[in-house]
Amino acid sequence: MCGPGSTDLQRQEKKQTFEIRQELTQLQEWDTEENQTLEERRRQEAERLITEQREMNQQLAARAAGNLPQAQAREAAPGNPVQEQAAAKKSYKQRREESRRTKEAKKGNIAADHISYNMVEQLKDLRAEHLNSMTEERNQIAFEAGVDRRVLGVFVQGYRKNKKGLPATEEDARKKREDDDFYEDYISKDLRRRKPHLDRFVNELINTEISPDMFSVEYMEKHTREMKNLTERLTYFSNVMEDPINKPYFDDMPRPQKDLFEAKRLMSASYSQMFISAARAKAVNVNENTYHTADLKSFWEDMVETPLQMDKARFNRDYEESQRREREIYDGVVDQEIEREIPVRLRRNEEVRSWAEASDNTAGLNINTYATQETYERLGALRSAIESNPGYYEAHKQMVDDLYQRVYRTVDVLGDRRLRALASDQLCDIYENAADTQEIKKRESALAKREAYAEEAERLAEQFTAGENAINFFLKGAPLSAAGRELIIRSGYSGELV
Amino acid sequence: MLKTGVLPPGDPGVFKTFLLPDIARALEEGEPVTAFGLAEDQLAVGALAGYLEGGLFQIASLYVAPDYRRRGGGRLLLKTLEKLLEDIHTGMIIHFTATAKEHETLFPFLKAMGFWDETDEKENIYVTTVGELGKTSYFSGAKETGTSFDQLDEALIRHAELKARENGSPRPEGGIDSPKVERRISMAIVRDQRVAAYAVFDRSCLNSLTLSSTWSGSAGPTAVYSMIRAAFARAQRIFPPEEKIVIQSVDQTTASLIQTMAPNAKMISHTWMKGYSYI
Repeated sequence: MCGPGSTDLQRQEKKQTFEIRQELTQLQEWDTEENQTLEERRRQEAERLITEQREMNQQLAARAAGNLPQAQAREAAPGNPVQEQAAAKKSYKQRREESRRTKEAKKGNIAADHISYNMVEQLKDLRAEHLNSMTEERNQIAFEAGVDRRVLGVFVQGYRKNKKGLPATEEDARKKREDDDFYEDYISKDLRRRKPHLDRFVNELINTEISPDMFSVEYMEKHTREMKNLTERLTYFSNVMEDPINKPYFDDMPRPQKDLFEAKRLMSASYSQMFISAARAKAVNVNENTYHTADLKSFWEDMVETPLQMDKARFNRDYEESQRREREIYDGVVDQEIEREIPVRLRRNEEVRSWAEASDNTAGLNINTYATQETYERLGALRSAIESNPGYYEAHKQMVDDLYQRVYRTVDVLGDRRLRALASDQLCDIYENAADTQEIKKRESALAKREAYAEEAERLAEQFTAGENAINFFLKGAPLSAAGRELIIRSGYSGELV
Repeated sequence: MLKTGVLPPGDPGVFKTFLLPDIARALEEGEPVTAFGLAEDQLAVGALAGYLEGGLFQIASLYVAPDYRRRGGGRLLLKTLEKLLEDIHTGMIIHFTATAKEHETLFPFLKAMGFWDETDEKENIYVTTVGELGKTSYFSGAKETGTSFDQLDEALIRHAELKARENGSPRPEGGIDSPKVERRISMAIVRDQRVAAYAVFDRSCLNSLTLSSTWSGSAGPTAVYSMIRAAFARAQRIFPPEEKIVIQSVDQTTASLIQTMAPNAKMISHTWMKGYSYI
């Protein structure tokens, strides 16, 4: 039955609900430090939420190490949960051919073998092909014109000739034409004519994959000519850059291309040296395109092994630095593209936000990042649960406020991570059919970021669920999960669990 | 005599062979993983590794070399872990997929160690065969709906993938348009030149035919059942009877559907827990 008394009660309840809503809305504001942007504050909170678990694991691992001795064993009993693949075997014909080449190679150096033979043959072929493009006559003309002949010699592609002295195939004819164009343009000393070639050389270098794996015997045997070509270009790029005619081109090179170019070039000296040393280990002299004449076998340690290890260490160090710089550059480019994509994604989420504002249960939640309908509903339900328990809220305000704010911030940061994962996903799509090395690297960066953001989002979603569970445990008597319990303890309210 | 000891981060040494690859890698990379090795004299015979997550210790890897089983080694590893977790009042949980005969030895072992079965029938992986599906009455006379992906225009599939990504609809790893999708039996319902619903198969689980994602879209939930019928009917025409099919259930509805479609399907994903009970 309705009467004045019950109307007063309703009014009082409404007032209480309104006041609690005001309190909770204030908790939805982010506190930022001086000169700190909201984005920085959000990132700070995301890191804190994500590293909390990591710190607990570090503490546990440290306790284990402190309480127990280290496990000791010299070998392992048979058995493991993983299977390995068997390597392929060579045919009889392959082995016979190898034997012939080894005999031939040992005439050059006793330490050489069939692999050395293959390497030397490639070096000889490369030299011959380059000389087809950079004839003695052209060398003379370049010298008289004051143009660096070594640069011309290194940056031509070279081509093979048939018995008639003409290009051996269509492919060789194309290479000859391109080398002729390059020669004429470079000799002209006109930067406008040189520019397309410089563009090509810079992009080729940026797109070339360089790694320590290249110095495995298997790789070197198959790719000796490419490695020699790369070594020469890396070495003579400094000549190209120091040429006063070319200097404006390199000075005005836009970023990030300039940075990528420099990141590759930092390996020049150590790559070349490493190639020389690694080839020496097969008795191959890459500078002279033949076998080493020295008695490498008798002085292996001093002449081969020691310099090889030193050069390897140097190259590995430069390689790591080059990779680090490249990753940073591509990550920077992809980050910028993600930032550009975010407003687009947010606009698509407008519909959900409008829907949320139109519903009593979810209006005023003010989630400024990405949020699904389900997120709004869950957060709205939590807020309603608090508003419906004014007595409990008053008696435990500090705790409920802390838990609610924690959940709210988790939802906010979760939305941000989901948004970034979606934006990264979009980039993966754009670069999906990338053939160009630079686009492939951008895709790799976007993929890595997508996975990282998605992983963070998953962790944050678990924390959202844990926070939701904790609040529902206190306000609705819901069963408490292990994660909810852990969160209550971590938030400093273990006393409330008694 | 068997003894346990801690495996230091960064270097599991010869014990690495007893750890599953992912957790071994994490340990090698210095991630905060807690790991123990089991040894007899100077011979490594087993290992356990895991980490805290969601208020419980997740046992990511537990293995004892076959020649050293039934000697209390597994028990010793678990007891070592339990002692460490005592002070923080944290329970243990282990998820595993029972695909090999030796996995079945885990059940009596875990039970004897005080673990209880927390396997969720609603969220699980079920395995059956094409031949077994052919025997059930679920498929006889029922309506089959949909067009297989190998009969659809590539642009249509691509558009479906873009929409699914935007809407957050279920998608297989790599996307609906991935070359890994088994197009001969993945089905879609097309309306107004757009994909309105789909059921996608790939080989993402146990390298077997896997129903990896379904979406009912504007076609309604019954459309999914019809498409799955059509997919299985096609599978019976294309694949031999012993071809395995894996289906993941995500809730009670899908679990019930699987149990109806394939009553002999085996549930292979298991979760066992110890040391924590919900308040």
